[in-house]
Amino acid sequence: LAGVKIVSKLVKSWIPIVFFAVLPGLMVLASYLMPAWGLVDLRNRLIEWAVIVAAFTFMLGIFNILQVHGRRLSRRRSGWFYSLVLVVAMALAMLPPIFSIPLLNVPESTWMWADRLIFDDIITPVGATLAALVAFVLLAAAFRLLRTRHSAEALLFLVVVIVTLLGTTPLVGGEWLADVRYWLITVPGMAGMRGLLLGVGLGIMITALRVFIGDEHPYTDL
Amino acid sequence: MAAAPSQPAEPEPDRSPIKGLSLPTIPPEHWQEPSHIQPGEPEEAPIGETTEPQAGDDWLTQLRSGGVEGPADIPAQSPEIEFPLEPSDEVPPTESAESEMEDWLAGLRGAAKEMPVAETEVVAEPLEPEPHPMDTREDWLDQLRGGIADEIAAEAPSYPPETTAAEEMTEPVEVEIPDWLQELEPIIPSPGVSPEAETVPPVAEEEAPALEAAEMPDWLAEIAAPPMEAEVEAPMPSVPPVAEEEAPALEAAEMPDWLAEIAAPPMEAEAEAPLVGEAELPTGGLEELPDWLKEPGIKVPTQAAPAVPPLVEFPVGVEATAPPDWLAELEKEAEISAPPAVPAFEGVISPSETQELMPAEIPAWMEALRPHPEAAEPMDLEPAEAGGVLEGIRGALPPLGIGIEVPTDQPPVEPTEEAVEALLSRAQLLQSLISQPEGTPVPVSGKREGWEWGGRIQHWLIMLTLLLAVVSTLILPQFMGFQFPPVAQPVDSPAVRQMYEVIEGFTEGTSVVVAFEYGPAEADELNLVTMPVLRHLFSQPISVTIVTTRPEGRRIAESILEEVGVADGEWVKADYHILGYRPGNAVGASQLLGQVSRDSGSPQAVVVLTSRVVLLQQWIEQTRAQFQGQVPVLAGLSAALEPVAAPYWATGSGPLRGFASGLGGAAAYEAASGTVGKATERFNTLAIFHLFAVGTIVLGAVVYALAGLGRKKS
Repeated sequence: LAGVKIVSKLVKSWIPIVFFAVLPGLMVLASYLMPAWGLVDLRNRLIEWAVIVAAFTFMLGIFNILQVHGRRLSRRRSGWFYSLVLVVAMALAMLPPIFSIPLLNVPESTWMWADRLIFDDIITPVGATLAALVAFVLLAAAFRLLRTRHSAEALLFLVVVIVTLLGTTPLVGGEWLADVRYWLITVPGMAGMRGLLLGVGLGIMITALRVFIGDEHPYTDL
Repeated sequence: MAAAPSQPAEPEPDRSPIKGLSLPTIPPEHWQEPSHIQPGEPEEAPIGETTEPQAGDDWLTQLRSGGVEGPADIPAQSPEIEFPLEPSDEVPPTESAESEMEDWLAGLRGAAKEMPVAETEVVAEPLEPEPHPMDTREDWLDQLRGGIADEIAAEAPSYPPETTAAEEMTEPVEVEIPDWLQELEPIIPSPGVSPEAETVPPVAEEEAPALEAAEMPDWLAEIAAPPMEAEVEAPMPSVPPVAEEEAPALEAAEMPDWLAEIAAPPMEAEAEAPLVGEAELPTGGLEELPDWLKEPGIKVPTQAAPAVPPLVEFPVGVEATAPPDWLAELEKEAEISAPPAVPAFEGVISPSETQELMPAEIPAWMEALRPHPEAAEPMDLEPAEAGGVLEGIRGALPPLGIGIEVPTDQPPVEPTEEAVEALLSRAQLLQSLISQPEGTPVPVSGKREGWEWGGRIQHWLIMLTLLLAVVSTLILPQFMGFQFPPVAQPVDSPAVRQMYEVIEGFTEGTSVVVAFEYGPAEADELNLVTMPVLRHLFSQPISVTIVTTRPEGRRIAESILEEVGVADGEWVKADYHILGYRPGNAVGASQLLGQVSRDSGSPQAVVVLTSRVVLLQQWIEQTRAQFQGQVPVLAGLSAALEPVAAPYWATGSGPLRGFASGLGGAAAYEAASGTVGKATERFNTLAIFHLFAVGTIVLGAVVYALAGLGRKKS
């Protein structure tokens, strides 16, 4: 019974971890450290496989979205109308690429027109509008900053914001604000950002080591 | 347990009496004219009347009420009525004797009133089994009886039928069995025994039933055998004789329903008991157990018998009243298991002596059970167990103090004037507190309402400011034909300048990878950055490979290339091809870089156009890892990414050789390349918008700073 458990553990846990995570990761890492031809070819092959798998996961995501919103539509749950809009929009956005398939013999002007209509006249303006709301939100937040916080930090924050805005587009005679802005970005801003990037880099390295030694396997349910 | 079939009684005169039946054994021919009643004698008074106590103590009543319901209704007849030594000597109790009776005994007898008593013509109608007088026992006896009955029932599979002495003296006559008897004893298929033989024998006054061992009440027989002996020779010393000459018949006629359901066999036992000297004791042993002892659900605790000591010990050697073997065995077991806690009474007492001595002959054990009036109340408060092995026992487990309403007999206490005044003063104080006006704090609802209005005004003010900025700088110049004077000039940025220099340094045939990593939402900003960079790139004799790791990247690239005019521009010197999209983010970027390097050799630069930090980082990392830092990375970014890209650019020796961020960077790139594009055109508009934004922020800061100062002063 103990032997069966060991074999089961090997089959269910350690074989997937070792053969599908640890060994490929170590080989790719070794190819970067020792770029021999064999290792580089193996790395490229593994990366191509990973891209194929990623493509299938992308398709899996599409099916998942269709399933979730389709269920909400069929059961008429709250927000079913938005699910309907999403499904219909997804189907319409898929039409131009489908029409571009040569076997369908759809004129190129037709599917190109449909593609521009969907992308240039609908998706892009809507996306730009949503992005523009960020300016409105940030300005409203800056306007009410001193209402909620009466501190030197809040005041300093407002000063930095004003200097950065005016330094990005310095008025005539106020070019010195551009120098101040440059200093703010390259000295205090860069120092803080480097600290963040170094912390993120260390976290990534530790996570990679844990994955390599099999201590962490987010790709499984174990 | 199913009742075992009873053995049919033999029709011979010497057959043993049938057990399990409690009807008087009156032949049918004597039903109309009972010979046992002497002419001229007054009709027997109902037992209830003769045994009715003048006064009674209520302690037994309390005990009875606390037990099961059935025994509480049992007529409180003393057992002595059924065990007189000499029937002819039995004298009905006189009023004087009853007056001398203890109150509690009077109460015990008083319970007999509750039971309807049969009239003298008991033979004229179907007689019902009368509850055994000893069934007036206390609850503790009930419990003991039930426990021991179980044990006996488990040991004795059957109980042979018996016949009374009167039955033996008469010929069996076929008489219709009453319905109630059929229900009670459906398993007695004694063809030779008529139903009359199972009835209560008519007992005259001189024939007062001197009950034999077979007449011993079942509950007593279940407890221990010694009481059986007491039945024969002496009545219970502490209980006066109650029955008159017709007591058995009346008892049989007045059996309550509860007893008929629960313990009909005991009635049979007493009814079937032959008269003294007329019948022989059955010697059936354990097989003579009544059927009710065989009923399922009756369990006999092995240690229950010692709790009840034998009340009276009878002299040995009376053959006519000798207990059956099974009772003798039970007696032995009871004696072995535990000695009686109370010394048994030994001796023979005549009925007259019994009546005289009754008030003084209360056994010690019964006297000990007699509760004091102050102790009776808490006993009633203790609930009886509803189930389990302790079923029916009171006070076995401590009751929970929660959720139990404890009744009290104390009269309600009348509130004093002081208490009433104290209550009134408290109520007045509470009323005054409630009626007080609220303090200075502003109601929360009003505060929220004011804040909502203020917030709405702020939102409308900010929106109007932005709208004015957009209309005045973008819309009005186009429709009204005027231009704002230039209020700002692009700033020369080292990062932008280095980027321009790198692209400017590409030689002929250089392979450049351009990654479009932004979507439609960021296109409005990044397109302004991308266009001057692409114009510069395609003006070089290089090979451009367009890639992306975002699904919409290819569509964005095609759109911007078309807008720049790469397809048909005469200034275009570079050739390009769109490698397309690769999923997997970093893996996709690595795969794209590897494919480009395999197709057209190692690229000389990678240009990343994105507005996301992760995408910028992935391209920087993969490019540096793929080409060991030999390939420079250039970036066209949104303005928000400038602080993130700066560390990678830093001194100019990092992986990021240069970048242009936002509209200012695009305008600077155009200025560096000597062209005037959309970035330069919108730069002035951006500067004016920045002025509006700064003015709004300052206004808000001043207003809230003054408000805060005013709040502090107040």
